[in-house]
Formats: sequence, C-alpha cells, structure tokens
Amino acid sequence: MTQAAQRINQSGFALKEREGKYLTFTLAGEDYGLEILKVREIIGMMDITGIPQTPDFVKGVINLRGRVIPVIDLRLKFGLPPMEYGERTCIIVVDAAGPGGALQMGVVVDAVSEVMNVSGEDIEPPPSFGARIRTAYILGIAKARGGIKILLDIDRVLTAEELAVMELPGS
Amino acid sequence: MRQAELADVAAGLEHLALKVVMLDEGDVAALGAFLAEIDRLKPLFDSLGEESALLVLEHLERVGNGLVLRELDNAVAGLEMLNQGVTLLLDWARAGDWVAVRPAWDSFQRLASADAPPASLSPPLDFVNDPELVGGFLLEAQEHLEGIETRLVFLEQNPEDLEAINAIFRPFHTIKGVAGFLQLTQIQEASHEVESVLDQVRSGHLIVSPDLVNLVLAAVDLLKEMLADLREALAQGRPVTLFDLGPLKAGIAQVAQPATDGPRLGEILMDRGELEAEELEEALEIQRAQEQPRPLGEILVEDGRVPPQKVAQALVQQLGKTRPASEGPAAETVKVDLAKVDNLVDLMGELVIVQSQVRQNPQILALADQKLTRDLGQMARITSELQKISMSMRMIPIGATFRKMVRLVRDLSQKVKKSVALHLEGEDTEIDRNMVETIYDPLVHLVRNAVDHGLETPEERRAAGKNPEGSLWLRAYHKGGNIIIEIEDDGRGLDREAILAKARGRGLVADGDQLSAAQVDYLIFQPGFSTAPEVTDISGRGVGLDVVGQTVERLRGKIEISSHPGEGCRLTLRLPLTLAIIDGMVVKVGEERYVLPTVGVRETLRPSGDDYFTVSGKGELIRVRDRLLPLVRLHRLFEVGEADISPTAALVMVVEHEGEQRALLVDEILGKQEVVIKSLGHVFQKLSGLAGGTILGDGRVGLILDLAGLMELEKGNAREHTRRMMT
Repeated sequence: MTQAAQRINQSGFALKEREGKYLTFTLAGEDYGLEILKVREIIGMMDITGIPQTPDFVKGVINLRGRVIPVIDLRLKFGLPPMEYGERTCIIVVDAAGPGGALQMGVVVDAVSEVMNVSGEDIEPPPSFGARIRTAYILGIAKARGGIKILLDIDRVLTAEELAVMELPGS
Repeated sequence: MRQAELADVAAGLEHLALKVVMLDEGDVAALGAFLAEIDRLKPLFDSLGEESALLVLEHLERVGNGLVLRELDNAVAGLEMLNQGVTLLLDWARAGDWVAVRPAWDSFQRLASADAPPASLSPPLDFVNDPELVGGFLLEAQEHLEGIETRLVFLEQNPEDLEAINAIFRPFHTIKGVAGFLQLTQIQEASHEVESVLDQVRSGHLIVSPDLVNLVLAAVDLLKEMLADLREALAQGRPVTLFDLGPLKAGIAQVAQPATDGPRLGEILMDRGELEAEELEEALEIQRAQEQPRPLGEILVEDGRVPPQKVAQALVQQLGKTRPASEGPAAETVKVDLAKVDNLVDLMGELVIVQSQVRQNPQILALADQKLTRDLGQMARITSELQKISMSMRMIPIGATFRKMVRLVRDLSQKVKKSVALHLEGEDTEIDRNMVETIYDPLVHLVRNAVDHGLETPEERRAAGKNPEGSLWLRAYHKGGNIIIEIEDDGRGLDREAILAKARGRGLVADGDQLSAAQVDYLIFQPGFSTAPEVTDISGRGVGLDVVGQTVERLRGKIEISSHPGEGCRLTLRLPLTLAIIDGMVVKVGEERYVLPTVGVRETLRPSGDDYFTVSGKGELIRVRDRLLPLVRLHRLFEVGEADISPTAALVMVVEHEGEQRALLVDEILGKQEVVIKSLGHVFQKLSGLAGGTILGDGRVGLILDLAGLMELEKGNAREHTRRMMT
C-alpha cells in the first residue's frame, strides 16, 4: 500500500466504519441511502391513521401485522414539496435507536431504487451548509456511478422528542 | 309396531347422547338439559313396557340428580356412568334386544353398583365378578404400591415438592377407582381415606410431616395385606377377609388435625392487647385443672376477661395465619415468562375480534348455510373459551392483597386509638396480576384514609349513638366485565363543607363556582388535597388521594364515591378485568374513526336546534334534559372533518369523567365492540386525549380516546382561546 493511500485511509477512518450495504431511494429527485442493517422491510403504501396534535410530517400510525407503528413522510420532514402518493411510493420500515429505546417506524419515500455496496473511500464527510440546512442526520455523501447518494443516519432523522412535539391546534 | 317405537326411542336417545357429551362436573345448566331430556324419554319407555330399560333410565336420572346436588363422592365416575348408560341404551334401542349388548350391560352394571346406592337396580342379568379383571387389578395395584413407597421416602426428604405429592396421590386415586369398580369396598375405602389426606396436603391445608409419611406407609402395608388376601380369596374361591380399618382411620384423623404451629389463641389476644400475661396464665391454669379441657376462648369469655367478639376476631386471625393462603401451591404449575402470557392474551383478543368479524361478514351471512352457521357458532364458543383461559392465566386472587390490610388496619387503629373491625369479602375474586401490584398502594392509601379520617374515635361514635367499634369493609367482586373493589366505612362520611372550604383556600375551586355534591366529593382526588385539619403521620404525608385517582385512571378504571354524612363513606374502584381489552364505541369524525371507552359514555342523542346555545366566552352548550353540558367538538380538537358542523347535523355523546360531564360531538356511531388496546409507542405517549390504538375490522388503526385527557385538552384550548381573545 502506498503512503498516499495510507494517508487517505487514516483521514477516512471514521468514514470507513460507515462502509457497507445501503438501501437507496429517491426523494424529490435526490438519491438517499439507508444502512441496510437498519431496514426491516419495505411495504407498499397503506392506509395511515392520522394522529392529532403532531407535526405534519408525522403521517400517523399503521397496522404492521398487529403492531401499531408510527409513519413519517421524509419529504415533509426535509421540507421538500409534498407529493401525491402513487404506485411507486413505499414505506420503508426501519429500526431506529432513540433515547427512549428502540423504535420501529415507517418512512414514506418516493421510490426505492436498489441495494448497493458503498466502500469507505467513496464516502465523503457531510458538507457544511451553514445554518441553512441541518446536516446532523447525514452520515456522509457517497460518490457512486456519476451521482451522489446522501447517506442518512436514521437514528438522528427523528428523535423521539421531535415526533412527540405537541402542536396545539390552531397555533 | 314395536320397531317404529324403538326407532322413536333411538332418536330420543341420540338427543340424550348429544347432551351427555356436553356434560361437565359442576355445569348445572348442561345437567339440567340432560335431565329434562330424560323426562321427555320416560313416557316413551313406559309405553314400550321395557322394564330394564326404564330402570337404567331411572338410574341415570338418579345419578344426574346426584351430580346436580353434588351428592356423589366421585363426580367423574358419575359422568362416566351417565355416558356408559346412554351408550348402552342407544345400543339396545338400535339392536332391539339385550342379548346383543350384553358386554355393555355388564360394564354398566359394575359402574352402577359401584357408584349408586346399592339395590337401586334389580339386574335382569346376573353379575359375575370377573377373575381376569381382578387379576389385572392385583398386578396393577401391586406396582402402584411399590412406586408409592419409593416416592414417599423422597417426599420425606423434600416435603415441599408438589410433584412428589401428586405422584403419590394419583396411584391411590387409581387404586380407589378400580377397587370401587370391582366392588372391593374395603380396598376402596382404605385408599379413599389416604387419598383425602393427600388431597389436603396437595391443597396446602396439611404439611408433610414424618407422622404423615409414617401413616401413608402404614396404609400401604395394609393395602398390601388386603391385596394378598384378595389373591388368595380369588384362587380359593372364598370371600375376601374383612380387615379392621379402625387404626388407619384413627391415624388419619390425628394427622388431619389442623396444624398447630400457628400462633396460639392466648398469644394472639396478648398481641392485640386484650389480655395480660397473668390473666392468660390463670386461664390456662383453669383449663389444665379441668377434666375435659374446654377451649381457652370459652374460659376467657366465661370469666369475663375478654369480650366474645374479641375472642372471635382472634380466632379468625388464628385461622387466617394457620391456613396457608388459598393461592398457595394447590395444583401442578408451570412457570412461564409473563411476556409470553401477555402476548398470548393479546393474540387471543385479536382472534376473538377477527372471528366475530368473520361471523358478521355480510357475504357470509348471505350464505345462510346452516352447517356454516353452526360451525361458526362452535368456533365462537371455542375462541371465547380460549380467551377466558388465556386471561385466567394472568389472574390471581386478590385475597393476599386484602390480607396485608389486616395488619395495616390493626397497627393503624392502635396508633390513632380507634377500634376498627375489618371485614374482608370476596377474597377469591381474581384480578389481573399486573393490576394487583399497581392497585396495592392505592388500596393502602384508601384504607389509611378510612381509618384516619373516615372513622371516628370510640368516644365520638358513642356520642353519635353508634357502636364504639367502627367497621371497615374491603370487598371485591366481578360485575359486568369489571372487577369492583370497595372500601366502605361506617364513619362520619365526607365533610363536604370542609372539602369545599379547603379547595377554595388552595385555589382548586374559584369562589364563584357552583359545584354539585358529587363534584365536591371528587375534589379529594385533586393533587395536594388532604382533609384532616392537622397533618398526622398516617395519611397526611403530602401525597394525597390524587395518586390513587391517577393510578386508577392509568388502569382505565373509575372511582365512585358514595358518602352519607354521619353514616359512612364508600369508595368503589371499578377496574377493567384485563388491561388488554376494552369495550368501546366506534365513532366516526370526518374520515377518521375513534374508539370511546364504553365505561365513560352515558348516553347518545341528536340535539335539536332548541337545545343548542352559545355563551360568549364560555363556548357552546347542549341541553340534555334539564342539564346544560359544554359541547366539545372532536372535529376542532383533532382538526379532522368539518370544524363548524352544526350540532343538529351530528351526534352528541354524553361522556362522564370524575363526575364531570361533557357533550362530545361526533359524526356518527359505527358500532360497539371489544377492542384490543395497542400501545402507540413511547413517541406518542405524551399526547393527551389518546389512550392508545387498536386494529379495527378493516385492518386500519383506530385511535382510542382518553376522556380525562380529552377534557384537559379541551380546557387548555378554552383557556388558550380566552387568552387570545383578551390580547
């Protein structure tokens, strides 16, 4: 191994841990990736029961084989324009770790693309956009086949506090 | 002619056969149906003129009656006998004569003579003791007795081992049963005696002592002798020798004496401060001097040292201590992870709901297929039975919790120098084990409160013309799918004026507010409320009854207060039988469906325009008969559907929580059903107004409303509204 390569490896040590398989999906034309180990299953769109007094990105709850799990809309969460749910709209069921313990929840995305292998050297640390965009829930940016995939830290996308934010009606 | 009648009889007997398989010991309804069927058959038999058949039928009737009245020693054998009898009659009616059914008749005969009063049947055919059967029994019994001996030694070393007791009990039971069947009355009697002692051990009424083990060993020896004699008698064709069972019975009577290692009566009385040590010594002296010693209690009462009631109470206490708790090891048990049981209960609940959905499916109803309907009915019975069983797996008797209060009341009453008699009722009432732990602290609170505040001092009571000794009742019973726990005292009742004054002082009630008597009573469950003028170290320790209220609420229960000044106060805790299922009304608001717990719903009505009023600032009111109730619009609260829908176009549900009523506006009622409560997860825990979710018939999640939270939410909204109006 050349010295140059070693240097890269050292600087990318933290990112090396993030290499592995990712489930990629699209949201408003952008590509995102989710660690495959966090994904439980992918289900088609189903009836969602709205929960009052919650932020609008919390779509509500669904019945997943007898279990009641919350569902959030990632478009709304990221402040992207809402879109009618269609044929390709999916709910990705993920196991997120929150401060209140493990939390299974559904994430609504435009469409699921593929499962891809991301190697450590392809991952860039999250860029800084200043205060305009929160980057805390971005693990890194993966360069792949001419495009980029935004790797999400699903544990941070939603903290339990955020889900439970109480919005008084009318306020 | 006779053929046709026999066919009639056979048809009737088939009915009877159907009934007999449904029979169960203690199931009086099924037994009643069985006996009614026999009554119907009797005239038919009469007209046939078949005396033997009529005799059999009458015998079945007698056994059936015996089962209903619980007069039979061995109900299982009785049931078996009914079964055999019906089969026999059926075979006979089909064959048309007795010859074809001779073996069945023989075995019925044996059962009949073993189990019913002798000479109840004049046998048309003679009965021979079957040497082959007896030989088989001898072999079997010998094996059993040998097994018992080895297990007894093991039991002596491990007296707590229930399995060992059962392993000894069962072979005795078998020997008894077969001996009875073969009319070996003495063997039957001896094994029955031992069996009944072992049964007491099994149920925890007796403990395994060396004496007991010796006794059972002696019984084994005796039975061995009897078997040897029987073998000889069989070989020589002579009648069996009569053995003397006297010593065995005497030994059993001695061992079966109630265990005396509990506290003695005198000690209890001294503990309770009713008796001095010297007095007890004197009384014991008297007892010793008597030729036929009389019970200590009698002597004490006669001498006027202790009042009779006190002795009675002490005796009750003694019994309570000596007798192991009723939930003690009584049967074989398996330890199972509680989470598994919870999961099972959950799934059973789902199953019950799904099967009722299937049954009510319009397409299935449209089929109108008789067999399908019957099968579905059968399935419903089985599922509900399964549900009951799975729920009962989580249930334990409340007695242990109640008995803890005995000590509490005793200590408390001494501390506050009041004399209190505690009455426990319904100790066997079963309650969800998760609930029993949660309900303990609230119960302690309520009992403390009753003793400290509710009951008066003996002087006050005398002055009021009451028995100086106050009474406190703890009751538990099941009613309408709920478990009810009552704490009642015959004390002074709630002092509504004091409560109100205090509430005003604490700012819980505004000066101008008019409260109903019930609302005043419920104030005691408000945070930071204590009615005793001075803080005592018993109940005035800051955490008031509000904790009780919250706990009961968390269990989705209700507290009712019924207080009569000067006569007493009764607090009724109404708790759901299980934490997993509630009875709910499914309502529709906009496109969403919500489930309202039926406990909180008082009535439903469609208001007319005349009944709707608006009050500036205070909001909307609905007149329900002579009361005006604040209108709560679920539409606005949850932002679903038409926010400004006219109440006359919607439905009003009158809901009640802690004596407060509200008119809840919904679009329509979709139905009433049992729903399994699912947690919404910790993320949504803080949302007020929601108690959880449930899976509705179409697989979607429906939200279960929480009335307390709803009222809070509505109050908050009203305040918010007022605030915005002011600024």
